[in-house]
Amino acid sequence: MELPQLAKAVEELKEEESIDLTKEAIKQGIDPLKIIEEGIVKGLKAVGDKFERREAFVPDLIIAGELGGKCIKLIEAVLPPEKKVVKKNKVVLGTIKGDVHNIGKNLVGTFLTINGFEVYDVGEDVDPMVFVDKAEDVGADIIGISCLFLPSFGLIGDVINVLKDLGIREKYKVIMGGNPTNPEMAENVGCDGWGRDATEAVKLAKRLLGL
Amino acid sequence: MVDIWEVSRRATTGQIAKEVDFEAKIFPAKMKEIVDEHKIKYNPEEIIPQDMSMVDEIFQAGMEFAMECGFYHKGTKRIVKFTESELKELIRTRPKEATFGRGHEKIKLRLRSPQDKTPPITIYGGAAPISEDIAIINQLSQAIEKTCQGLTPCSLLSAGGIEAKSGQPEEMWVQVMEALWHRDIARRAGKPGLFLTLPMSTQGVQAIMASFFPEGYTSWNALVPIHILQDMRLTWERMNLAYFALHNGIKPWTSTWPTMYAYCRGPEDVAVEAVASILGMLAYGNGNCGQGGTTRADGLSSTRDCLWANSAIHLAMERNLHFPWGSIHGGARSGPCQEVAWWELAAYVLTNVASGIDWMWAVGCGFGGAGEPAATGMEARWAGETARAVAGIDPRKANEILLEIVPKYENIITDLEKIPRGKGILETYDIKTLTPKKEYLDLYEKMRAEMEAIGIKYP
Repeated sequence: MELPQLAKAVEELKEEESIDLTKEAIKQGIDPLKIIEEGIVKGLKAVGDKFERREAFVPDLIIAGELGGKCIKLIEAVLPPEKKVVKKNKVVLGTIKGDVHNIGKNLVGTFLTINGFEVYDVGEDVDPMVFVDKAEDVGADIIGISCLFLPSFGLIGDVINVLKDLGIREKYKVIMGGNPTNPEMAENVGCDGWGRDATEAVKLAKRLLGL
Repeated sequence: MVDIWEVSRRATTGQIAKEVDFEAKIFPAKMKEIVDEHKIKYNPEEIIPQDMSMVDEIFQAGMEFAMECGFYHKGTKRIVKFTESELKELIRTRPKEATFGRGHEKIKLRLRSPQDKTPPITIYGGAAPISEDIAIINQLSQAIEKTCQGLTPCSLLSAGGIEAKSGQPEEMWVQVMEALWHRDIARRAGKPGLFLTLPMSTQGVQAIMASFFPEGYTSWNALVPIHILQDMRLTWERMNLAYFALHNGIKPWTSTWPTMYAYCRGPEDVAVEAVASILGMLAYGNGNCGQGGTTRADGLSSTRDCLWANSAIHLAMERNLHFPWGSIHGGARSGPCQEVAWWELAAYVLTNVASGIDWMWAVGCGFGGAGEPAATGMEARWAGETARAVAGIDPRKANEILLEIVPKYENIITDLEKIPRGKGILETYDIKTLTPKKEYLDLYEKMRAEMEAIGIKYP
């Protein structure tokens, strides 16, 4: 079994085959991190590239994200203890209260997952405090907020204010995006960054965490 | 006939599904199956579809999609479905006209066909977020245009210095102020009975309901937004608004706006989803008019794939639904008072008027984002006069002209570095007299001459 086969199966969203090939790779004693990087993540990135070329769409990205997660779980179960402590960067992601748009948020979540982040999607129409509570619960590195509806925009400032009032602002990088927003708005409200789209969001997250 | 109570019952008894399964498996699989089965195919060289049998297939496909995919209720995690006979009854019982406004500004939406020489009702304004400092003057510049038969409010970011915040009293305040200011704009324009379309600054149910009162929005000047969310999703909030409209004798704003290249793979899927969504809304909203359009996941609305989808939706509705149907535009990507913006608008107007729409909402330039210049009265003038110039055009001829217009801007609006930011009301108008400056009137005349050179005769 070769890892390009696994990458191809993931790219083609073949769940059963991807899982079988992952199990086979583990059985053959291939370095688990190599299976993730050269098999699963490579396949997921190929799905992301297809999306950019309009050969794949949001449902494909969602399926790919789920499939990748299942394969990675199999590998994590056999990782030696010293490798299990490798910290994965965590992002709490949601659409701010009053706004029910989810396409952009879902895309960002999937692209982050593909790029190795652990994403906690808190959904749409989310209260500022929920972002903070979830970030504290999971020990997040980043809070990502989507906003396509401007009356909701002010509530992003409330997320920042809650973090400040709790004395935990420095624990998190807060990033935002959404069609009617721009970098100046993000800066004015106190965010650490703004992304135009899912690809930019990934670059931003990596830059902010020094990856 | 199926109604809000029946939809509510089905929302609590329908098949339970995880949202992720609905959106990633049920929706795309059923869409692919239905689009393939009906052989619906986008042709970039035929922006206005000429094959009416395919157009009718789009409508049929939309009906099947509504029946077989159904609508996902986000609150109960259940799928609401309808039968063919229920949908056919909804279609059969639609009114053929709708009346809005009052006095001199009273308008009647009536059925047009693609080659109808009567132009559609023309409505401007709306959508773009705007600072309260310039909101009134900006909208007034549109309201005073001769062709303005309706005016949609812009989204106010604040009112009296109080910032709109979702779910809070501030949201209600801003929405109420929007209604009051909008009525005032109509009066100042000398059009007190103007159709004001729908509340725009907020999405909150309480805020929208609060904006309906005798001095603000009323049953004769506005509608209540009850949209199905993108990609076949229902919520209690929208259904509660539908009940509010029903209870108060206000008509529902029945509109559909699927995003292209997200859950929908392309223009074909968008057209099918648009038809299905409208049928779903009629079931719980009992609307007397509707409107639709699309935008791409990258925020563009004037590209040829979007224009094709718009045309396909309008033709499918015009031929099969037979109730007052209008177009919505996401707005030119270019900022206002620019050649690029006006070419984008010309393509939008030509596509939609030649596709038989009964009313046209021309946002102008809308999606540059907060802080960007908003559309002015010049965009309204351009859209309105162009609509009158192209009314009655043969769709085949319209398509030929579109193939000349669209290449003028399509490579510009897809390049972030090249998109003109545009100039807003303070730069383009003499504010004391609220008239456009000479530079922009000259630009207008130049654009008109170019349109005439490619075969459009202005009245």
